[in-house]
Amino acid sequence: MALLQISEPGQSLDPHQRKRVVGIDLGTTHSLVATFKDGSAQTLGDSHGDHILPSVVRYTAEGAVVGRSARDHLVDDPLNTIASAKRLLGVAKDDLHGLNDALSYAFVDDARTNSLMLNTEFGVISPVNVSCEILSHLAQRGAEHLGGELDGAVITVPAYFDDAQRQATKDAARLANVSVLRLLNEPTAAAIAYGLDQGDDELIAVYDLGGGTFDVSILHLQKGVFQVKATGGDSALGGDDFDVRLAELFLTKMDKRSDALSLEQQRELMRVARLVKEALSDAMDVPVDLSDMFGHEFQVTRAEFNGCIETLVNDTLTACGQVFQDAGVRVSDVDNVIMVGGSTRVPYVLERVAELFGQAPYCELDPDKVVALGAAIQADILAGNRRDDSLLLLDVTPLSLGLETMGGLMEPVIRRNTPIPAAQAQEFTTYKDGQTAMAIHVFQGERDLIDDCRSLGRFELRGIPPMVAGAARILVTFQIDADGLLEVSAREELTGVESAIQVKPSYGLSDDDMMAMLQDSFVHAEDDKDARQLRELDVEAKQLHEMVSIALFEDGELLNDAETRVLQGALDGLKAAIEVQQVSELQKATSALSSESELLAARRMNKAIHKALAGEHVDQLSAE
Amino acid sequence: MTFEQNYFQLLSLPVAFDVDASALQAAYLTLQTQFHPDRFVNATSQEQRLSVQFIAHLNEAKQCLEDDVKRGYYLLELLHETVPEERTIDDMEFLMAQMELREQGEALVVQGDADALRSFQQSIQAQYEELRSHLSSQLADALWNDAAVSLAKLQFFQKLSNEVSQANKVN
Repeated sequence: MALLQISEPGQSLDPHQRKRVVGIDLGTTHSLVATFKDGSAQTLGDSHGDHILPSVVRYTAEGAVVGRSARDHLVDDPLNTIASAKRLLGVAKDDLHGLNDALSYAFVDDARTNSLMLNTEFGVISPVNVSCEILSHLAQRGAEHLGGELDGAVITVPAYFDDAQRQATKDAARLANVSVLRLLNEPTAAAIAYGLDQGDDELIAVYDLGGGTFDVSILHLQKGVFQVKATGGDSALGGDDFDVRLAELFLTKMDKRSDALSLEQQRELMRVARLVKEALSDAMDVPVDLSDMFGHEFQVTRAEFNGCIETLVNDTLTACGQVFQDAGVRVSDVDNVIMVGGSTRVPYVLERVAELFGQAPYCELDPDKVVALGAAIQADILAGNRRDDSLLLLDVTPLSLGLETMGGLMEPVIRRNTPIPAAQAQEFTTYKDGQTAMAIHVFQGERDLIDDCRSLGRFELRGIPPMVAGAARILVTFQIDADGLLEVSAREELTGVESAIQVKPSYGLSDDDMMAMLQDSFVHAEDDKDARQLRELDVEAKQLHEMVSIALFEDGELLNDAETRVLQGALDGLKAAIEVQQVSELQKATSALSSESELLAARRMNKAIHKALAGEHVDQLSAE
Repeated sequence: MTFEQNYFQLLSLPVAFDVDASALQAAYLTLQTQFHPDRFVNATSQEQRLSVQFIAHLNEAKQCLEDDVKRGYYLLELLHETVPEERTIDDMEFLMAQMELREQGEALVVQGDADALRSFQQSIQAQYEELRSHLSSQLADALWNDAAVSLAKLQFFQKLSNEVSQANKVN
């Protein structure tokens, strides 16, 4: 993993030390990479000048091919050419039936696992591998433009993505050796791209209709702080569905049935439907030429198309209504509306959205690029590349998280739309006399029955001393970090027995799978693994030593003499270990200093909080 | 990390039931702006962890103080040190009235008469507000037991009004 450089507290970065960071829009149908350069965010092109990378990966015996040249084989090599892999990311086999029927890949049939795998000529592939290929490709493009290996990236995800899908996205980045600065919600990225962060007190609605997903978010902007009030949408509704509806119209016009079509005919039908949809954005009627494969030619009018997609568009507006309710706002409260995603080019969509909000939405920026541009700006801010870091993004968790309780009921611990990071604890107890273990099963969803929610993982708390039913006090703590990823721990309060898991989707990749994939990706790296580990440890140790020394110098008075002596001892210990340059010594001394300095760090934090409230400026915590 | 301040101190507010929403929001943003994990991307993992813990604590504080019932119980605990374990009400008259209100609300939702429902919701809201101001003065006058009863009642009203708007949403 690439380590970020750290500047001394109170000092700004040397202009030559600008971090090489990018924003990546990892989309369902296409992906982009952008960076902040010469005062503005710009998307980056390939050697042909193409900025948009089709999110298509083709696997042949020789390896993976990404983008346009892969997309060209969608029709003639459908089983090895994977498009819309994002829809499969973090999805279990059991969930497959809910997805679009058009996804006709050779799914691996292995009853032992609920992970979704695809058979290709190259071998068995996970959707995470596909996303990894796309990310690697874009990161490579970014590195070429910026003249060196990337320090990090902001990757966007639909606001509606659940924990499993976010986790799978992070796994893909890890596999691609891309350091993730932050997972950013797509609609929020769009608002940043439009520079709406300059406003003082505004309510912004973002309507994002992409190829495969629909999101709507209500953002509140106040004094440079973006707050996601509520998000909603549908992770399986998008412009691709418009194509499907249009293709159905074609079939009706030709008096044909979809089940009588060959795979090639289906793909051809979808290709033409897509072209006709795009043409209908400018023209009122468009000729359709299906003479090659079907022997038919006819006309389609915009009114016919509008009729086809009316119920889909209605669904998006209903979702908007739900989000208003969640956010506790009325349509008339919204100050600005932003259109994102290629499908918002459809005039009927624009029309209906304008009608709902009673105002013309923002649509000046290329709706395909706007998310990547916003991500690039956010990456620039997070990396500390700019001095004015007034913009801050506050996020919420999109779905409720909770536990299974007796009777198969879902007990929410953290509710939907709670600001993150968040920590919430709840007490549970045993239900049988003498019960010594408790199964903690974590779910996500809004329904009362766990059967209707998604399982995120389970673990057991063992070693509870035998007591009468109801006497044990098990405190279960949910913690969500700033990326929206969950960690759950359980503790028996009377005895202090503890257990915890980093929640990994039970149907995604296991840690073992991830390790195996990481090993594979390192095979062709010539680096001696030990040397690499030593180098990373050395950097980490020196950084920690320096940071703690500075902290002790600046705020030594926060510790008493005995505490100072202990900390100084740990500092000296690490210094000695740095000279010895041995992996085990370095690990031991680093973790010793890290834990000994906890107290000082916590007191410094408290001191800074007091200062902040007193209105004082806190040097080491601002970017100036 | 331990946080020495109570929620009111943390957000620079006087320890009282009535809270100035805009002052709360301003203090919240001041702290978020400086201590959010995004401000610690280049810091040590230890500082990053502290920042996550602090912001989680801050979010919890804000959610507590913004909710009348949560804030009431928190304040009661803070000032009186003990909160009655069982939050039950033995005021039969009140309970009967609640049941009637609940049935009335359900019936209105089923009927789908938007105007009648709206005026019903307004009347619940008015009773809620009245109870709330009672509670506020009881807490200010250190009438802990009376305050605890009012809080339990307030919780009933809060639940009722949530249920009605929830049911209305589904229909």
